[in-house]
Amino acid sequence: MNHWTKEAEDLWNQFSEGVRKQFEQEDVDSNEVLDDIRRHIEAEFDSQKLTVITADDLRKKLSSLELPKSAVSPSSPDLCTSKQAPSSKTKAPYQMLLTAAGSFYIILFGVLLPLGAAIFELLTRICTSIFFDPLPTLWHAILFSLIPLINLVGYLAVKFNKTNYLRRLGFLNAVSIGIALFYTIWFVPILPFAGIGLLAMGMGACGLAPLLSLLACFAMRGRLRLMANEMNLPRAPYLWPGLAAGSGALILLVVPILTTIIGLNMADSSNPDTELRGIRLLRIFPNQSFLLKRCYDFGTMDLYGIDITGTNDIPAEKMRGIYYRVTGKSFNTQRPVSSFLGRDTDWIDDWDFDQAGDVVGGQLKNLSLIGSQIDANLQADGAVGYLEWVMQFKNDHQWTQREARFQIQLPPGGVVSRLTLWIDGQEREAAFGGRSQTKQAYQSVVSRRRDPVLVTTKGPDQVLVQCFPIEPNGGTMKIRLGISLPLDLLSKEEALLQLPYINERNFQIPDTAIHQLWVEADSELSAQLNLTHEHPDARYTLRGPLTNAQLEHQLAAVHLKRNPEISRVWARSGIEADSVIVLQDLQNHKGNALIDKAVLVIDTSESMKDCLDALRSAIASVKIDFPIQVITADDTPQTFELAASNQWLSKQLFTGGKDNMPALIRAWDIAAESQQSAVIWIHSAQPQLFQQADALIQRWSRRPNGPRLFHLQTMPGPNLVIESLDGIAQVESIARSAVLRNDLERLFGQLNGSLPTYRFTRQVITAAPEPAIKQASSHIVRLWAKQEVNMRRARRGSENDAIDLAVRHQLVTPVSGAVVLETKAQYDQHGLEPADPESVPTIPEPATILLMGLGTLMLARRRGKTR
Amino acid sequence: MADIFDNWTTQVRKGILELTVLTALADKDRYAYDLVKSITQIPGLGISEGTIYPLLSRLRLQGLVTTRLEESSEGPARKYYHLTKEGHETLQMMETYLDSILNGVHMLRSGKGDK
Repeated sequence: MNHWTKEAEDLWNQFSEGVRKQFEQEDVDSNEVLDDIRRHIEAEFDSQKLTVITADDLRKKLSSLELPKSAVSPSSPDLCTSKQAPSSKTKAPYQMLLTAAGSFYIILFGVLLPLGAAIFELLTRICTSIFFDPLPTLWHAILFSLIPLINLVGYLAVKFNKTNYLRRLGFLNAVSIGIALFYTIWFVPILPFAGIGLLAMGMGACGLAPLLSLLACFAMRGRLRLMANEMNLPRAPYLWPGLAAGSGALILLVVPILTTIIGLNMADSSNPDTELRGIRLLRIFPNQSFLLKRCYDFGTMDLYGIDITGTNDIPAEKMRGIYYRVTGKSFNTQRPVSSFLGRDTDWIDDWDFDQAGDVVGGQLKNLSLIGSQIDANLQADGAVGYLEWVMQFKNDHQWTQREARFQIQLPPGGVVSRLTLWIDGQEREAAFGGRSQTKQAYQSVVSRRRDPVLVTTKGPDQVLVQCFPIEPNGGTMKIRLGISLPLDLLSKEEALLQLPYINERNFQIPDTAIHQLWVEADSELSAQLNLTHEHPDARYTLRGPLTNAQLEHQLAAVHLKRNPEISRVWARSGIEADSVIVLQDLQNHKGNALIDKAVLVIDTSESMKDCLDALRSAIASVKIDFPIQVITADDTPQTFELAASNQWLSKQLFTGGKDNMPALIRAWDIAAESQQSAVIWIHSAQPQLFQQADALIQRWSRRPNGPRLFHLQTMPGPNLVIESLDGIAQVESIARSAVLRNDLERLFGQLNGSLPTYRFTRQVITAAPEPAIKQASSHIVRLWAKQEVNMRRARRGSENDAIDLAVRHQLVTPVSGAVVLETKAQYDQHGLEPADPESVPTIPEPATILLMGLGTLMLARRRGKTR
Repeated sequence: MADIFDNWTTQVRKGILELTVLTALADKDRYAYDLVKSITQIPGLGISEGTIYPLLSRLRLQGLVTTRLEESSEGPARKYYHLTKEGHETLQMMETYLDSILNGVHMLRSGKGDK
């Protein structure tokens, strides 16, 4: 059913009157003919789906009917000249309202002001810096830009009498009112400031833009209402749907941030149930950008210093924990994202609150690793090796000196035995001293902004490295870490080198292959990754470039063939002051299960998802003779038998990051019910510690022979839980190869006794053994010293002995550190002595150089004889 | 020359308009738009809605057609026109008359009329 406008009805009546007399003169029923013509016209409009019929439409239609000229009297409307219709020539009342003043108002406040305000804010971010961010996302900017756009379209439509678009215009105008209303309410608190600013200094129009544009939108609606009246409609259509759409779209944009604020306040609660509900809410609606900014100690943009979100008092440290529990990621694996076209994260690059501290902290944008070289020298028969890692950092910040901080995951059982810093192209060796002594020296030098490097342990098989200062504007710093390491025996015939990697850092690493790996050994080498194999003389080489991801995931873990007959070697210390001789024995165990009970703790953090298949197949493939209970390290840990584990694994949701400590404590208690028990902890990185490990430490300190803890970390990253268990002999890392399933199967097989377990024992002997026993690298002595330090450390009153031993053998242990200072005076001031360059390990090792020299000599002699 | 021809064709079309409409209704009932479409398909003939409605009204007043409204699935109800008995008789007379005129004209051309 179509609706005829008043103007159209008038035109029809005028037409009817004009033709009626003529029809009557022609002996026809004029009423009938007019009814027929009107029915015909309505049918045609219906077929065109024209719901509102205007005078213009009617005029065109009547002219197309080709009424006989005789039927059209001189007084009837001119049906043939619709283009010159009166409606175009003479203005309708609503058009009359578009007077110069009215047009000026709508264009100025409805179009130009909001458009200018949006552009000004996006360019300068003045409102963001003083009050709050009104355009935090691209969608906010688009929605706000609809205000000027809709007003402009409405203005032009009215001006050119586009009555056909009345419904669409009515809807769009209501949308613009909804958006402007939302922003006006949002800006209410700053309206007084904007008003005063405008009056006093001529500034502040941007603050008034939402209110003034809202009034302009209402003015536009007034014109649309007049247009509707002309069409016999009571009002401009679609007010409420448009309002709902406009304000609803903005509310939708606000919902994630609102739920984040609510969830965050709940997660900060001291009530554990409320805290957990908050974490779960945040996992459903995570505004990661907001949470991440708070991890970097951002306050929310509050009005007049009022904490409108109620979250500003949550310390950054707690925020980092919440972020991990919600997302399953450590905050410093990513950088906060600026708001739309904003620069609100720039300041992160100016300040480093964790400098000279004990934590790695957030990533710095302008600090990066620009060079990395890993050289390793391995001895398969002695299952020992030495690796040097040279790293170069660059600081591109314009004016701030930087500290590079990072944690290195060492090969299991490895120990840092050398530290070098290049100063003005010269190599400076580190001084080894007590942990607190070296740390103090470092901090005092950092405060004076001179050149130090410090390496200290950070839990078992982890060290924290700090280098300062890296000068701004492209300044670089180059260091070298030497690591003495035992090889892991997969069998008597095969050894494995797990390469060290950076598991936490405050600098950037490019995605390109930045690590140049060069491994040499006295036996054949292989790796899963496609690297270059060489075999010059009697040495085997494996080399090639690696990306950081390849290094982290052990894709270049090196396998070595070895002589299975050799199970005993000896080594002499390379340090003159300490001529210790150490005998190393290989012991293996196979047959009976190592344990009589195990408790398997499975981390249910999101990053464990990728490991599920390997875990399932490893559990399924190993025949286990001892009882195993499984505990899920979930928000609320659950316990069940191993038989149910596959079913559980298939339905378990791995979300966020989980606090594994409660599950470990429960596992210890269950395992402790047996004499020979173990806790097997399969987990992802643990970048946050939600509760101190005191409860676990107490258990092991009261029962030193309590359950053993085997932990296997599936993904690279820091592990604060293991860090806090440093020094507990029952805690053991499982070496990782490139294939997780193999590692798991080996672990289960060894515990079950179906696969042999290899362990090295090292003891001091008074004299070199008989010649039949092979002499191996002096790094065996360093590995012995590391073990001895740990043992002495565990004995009461022997801490100084432990420090002396560590310092004598130049090792970084829980009681000792390594520091490079710039001048002798600085060393003297802190009672430190830099290592003698003659005493530090090198690549190639002196023994290797000797061997190579002898090899070359023999080759030369043989050639001489041949000739 | 062209003006004379144009005037003549207009007069012819005008003259046979009633005959055409009655013929179109002879076999089946039709509504106005249907009539317009059918008639405009005949070469040389043409009619607009503005012309046909007064004509149909006049035919109804003369008792040659009757009307009825019928619901349509495509829009508003349609007004169908039905030829009455009187309409058929009138159509018959018109056709006879027109045939005899045309025959006479043809005879003039062949010279038979002179004899």
